[in-house]
Amino acid sequence: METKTEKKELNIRGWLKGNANSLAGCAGLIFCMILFGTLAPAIKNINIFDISGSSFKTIFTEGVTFSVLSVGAVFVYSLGAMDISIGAQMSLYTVLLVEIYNEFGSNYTAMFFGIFVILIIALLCGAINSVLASLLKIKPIITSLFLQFLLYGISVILFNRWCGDSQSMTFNAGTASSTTFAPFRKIGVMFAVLVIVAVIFTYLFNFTKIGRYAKTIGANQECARQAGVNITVYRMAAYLVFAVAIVMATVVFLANKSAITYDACRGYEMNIIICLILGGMPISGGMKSRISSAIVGSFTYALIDICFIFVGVPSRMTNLFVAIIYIVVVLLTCRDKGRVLPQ
Amino acid sequence: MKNPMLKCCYLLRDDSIFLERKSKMEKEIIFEAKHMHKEFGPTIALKDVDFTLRRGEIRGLIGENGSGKSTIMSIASGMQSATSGEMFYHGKPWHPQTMVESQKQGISMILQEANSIPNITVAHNIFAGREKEFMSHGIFNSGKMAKEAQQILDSFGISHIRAQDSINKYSFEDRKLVELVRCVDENTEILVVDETTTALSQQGRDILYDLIHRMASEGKAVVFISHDIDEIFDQCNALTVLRDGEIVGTVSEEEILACRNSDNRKEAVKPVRHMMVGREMGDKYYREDMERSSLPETILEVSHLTFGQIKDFSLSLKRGEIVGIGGLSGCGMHEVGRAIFGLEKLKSGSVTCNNKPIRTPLDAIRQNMGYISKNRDTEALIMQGAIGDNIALPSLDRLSHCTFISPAKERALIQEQIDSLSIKCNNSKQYVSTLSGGNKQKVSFAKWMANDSEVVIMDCPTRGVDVGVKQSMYQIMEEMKKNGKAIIMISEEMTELIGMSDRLIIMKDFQVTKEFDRSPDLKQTDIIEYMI
Repeated sequence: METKTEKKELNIRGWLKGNANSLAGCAGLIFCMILFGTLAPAIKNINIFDISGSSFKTIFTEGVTFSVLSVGAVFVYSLGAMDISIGAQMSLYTVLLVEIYNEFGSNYTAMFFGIFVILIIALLCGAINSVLASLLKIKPIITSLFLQFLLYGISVILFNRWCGDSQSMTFNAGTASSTTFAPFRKIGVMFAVLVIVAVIFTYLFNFTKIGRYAKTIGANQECARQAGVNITVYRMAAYLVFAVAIVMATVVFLANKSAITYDACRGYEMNIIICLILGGMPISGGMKSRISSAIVGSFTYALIDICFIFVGVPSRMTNLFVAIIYIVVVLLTCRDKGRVLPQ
Repeated sequence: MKNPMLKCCYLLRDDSIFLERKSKMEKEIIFEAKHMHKEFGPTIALKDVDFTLRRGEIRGLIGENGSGKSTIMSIASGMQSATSGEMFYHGKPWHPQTMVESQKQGISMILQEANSIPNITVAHNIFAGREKEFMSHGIFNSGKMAKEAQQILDSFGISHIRAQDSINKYSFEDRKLVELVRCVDENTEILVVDETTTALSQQGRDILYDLIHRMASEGKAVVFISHDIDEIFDQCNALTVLRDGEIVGTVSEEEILACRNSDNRKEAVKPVRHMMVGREMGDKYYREDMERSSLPETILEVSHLTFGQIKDFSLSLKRGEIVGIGGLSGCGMHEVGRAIFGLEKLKSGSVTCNNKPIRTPLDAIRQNMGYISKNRDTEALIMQGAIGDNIALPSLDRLSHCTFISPAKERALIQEQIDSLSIKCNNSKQYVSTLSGGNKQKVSFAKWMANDSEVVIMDCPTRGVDVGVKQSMYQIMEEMKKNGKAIIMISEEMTELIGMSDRLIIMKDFQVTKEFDRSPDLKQTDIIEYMI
């Protein structure tokens, strides 16, 4: 007969096995913190944990931006879907937000009006991505590819129209620090944004039908349908939640930039995929999707992305290192498929 | 005779053919497992099991769901590894790393679950992993592959399956036959058939039976895992009984022959059933009342359904009534069940529950209907989801209050179902994929019980479950009937349809051919003529 202690040990072992990916993500973050926390001071005399230092702020800003984005992305990725229009959407929204802010008086009203406009467009893009895919019975990645080209195209046209030959676009009031976006540059405010986003999105993901059904659709769409889930409606709901996250991330991103270009956020869709994978989220979606994975992965990626430069790796080489780490993570976490016949 | 309980039941039969085969069998042990132990997290699946397989044997493995039958053979065929213990194949230590490696060495296993590769042709399925055989100077010859695949299909007597067709075109039953063809070749020394026959039509079963007997006569070995005791006794020449991960008894060929020839087989197999479940099951299996009964109120009305190949199907279901729909696989009965639940697009006709139209599954659930799909692993359950998530899924709408799903209420609902259906698990967070077939089926039931469904459509509710679970499923159905709930039971098993239904609708070629009322005189032979 098993003793109570043995049973407890077995349960702990079961829990560890069931949460292996999430734990690996946390371990990766801790490893990066220790690695760069040791290397950066030794090589460049930079303390990445000094809250008043610029290095910490750079990492934190990027971590928060990616976290807000990827927390929203969890809703879409848990469906087993993929959105590759994120970079194009954010690029367009930054261009629009700066122009609206400049045109409407560079005050709080202009800022909120600009946010309102981009929120409407983001919701529209989310609806197009999901509904079009459902109606045409195609993968949402296809519709998001269409949106990517469309939005970059619009972004270029608007940028050229408003900026002419200029290489970048700025606030009339100067840098973002002298605008009403300035509060979003503060670490305390960014932290508050992160906490609020994490709490609200965790609630939506774990304690409402939007998140629960999104995971179910990703895990087994037919089972979800037979359980009465309206696939089109809940898929759209997930995309709309993501749209809100994209807008919030755009505001944080813009507040920390002095100037932007028409493709300021190019490549963010790929960064989000890396963040989710580093955090231990299965890209195929389903019941193992976690909000915590998005946050852990985002800060791990921010550390890797920025700290390589701090420790002396040339910026042109960082992508190479990120690629190596990415493939190592994939190889460590991928499922062993060799033991069964081809599935 | 390893189990003394069996001594009274079986007699030694002097049979020269049998003795000749027996002596041949005893010559060589082809596979042996010693002290095999397997743990899945906190669950102990196998406890110090010793298992021997000899040439010429068709060894049945029988036991309740979760008793470890499939685990032994999945370890032997390289699907997973044992926690401890040794294996020997042809007398040499055996450590297969993959199923592919195992198959190349001569141990093939046909799995219970669907295991064909979708979106490719039948030929590609048959030669999966062996494509190199059709390469010439770097060019792949798909025509040659298709031709050889078709020859193999023809040799198995399943010419209706065309090698060049996409596998998606074929039914679950036909795909299983393709898997069978893929598993067996001239190198196969041991064939493991893991609860496959429930997924096959009678023709498919006959093909499988022919194959395993041919293999045994050629001195090869077969392990036949099934819940059907009659089938085991008809097809096997040795039997091993498992319970809770341990071998609790074996039955020799003499005993099997005696049982096969017994006038009262039901009594003769009773000790094996007792060994399997470890308790007296009693004689009560199906309903004991033999009269049609129901409450007067009609709850479900199906009028002139026409869709796909189904034409003008009508049905009226009263509270407290069990209506059975039976027929051969492919007669359209499964499609009818789906249509009633709003899963099929209708050309004409209507379904109403509580006088409200049912057009989608959501309409059905809102009228307290439930549907247990026959495709348990692919449609009814989220395999990579927790037991609790699966049970609560249809009830989330009801549990949600101002968007908030209360975890406390959800936990209580889940635990209530786990307790009332005695689902064997460590906790509600355990993944469904780790459960045995019977416990998976209990989770399918629990989903709709939790939602307090008043009308439940059960499509093959006892497919792939053992006698113990079957008995409890029938008890649940009877309890539901007593509580005024209505059930549509779709099944290919005539005995359970006769045993449980108040009314029995028989279908053939997508049409209703006959309707029977519950009666003590109703026999399978009365029904079969309307099915075939």
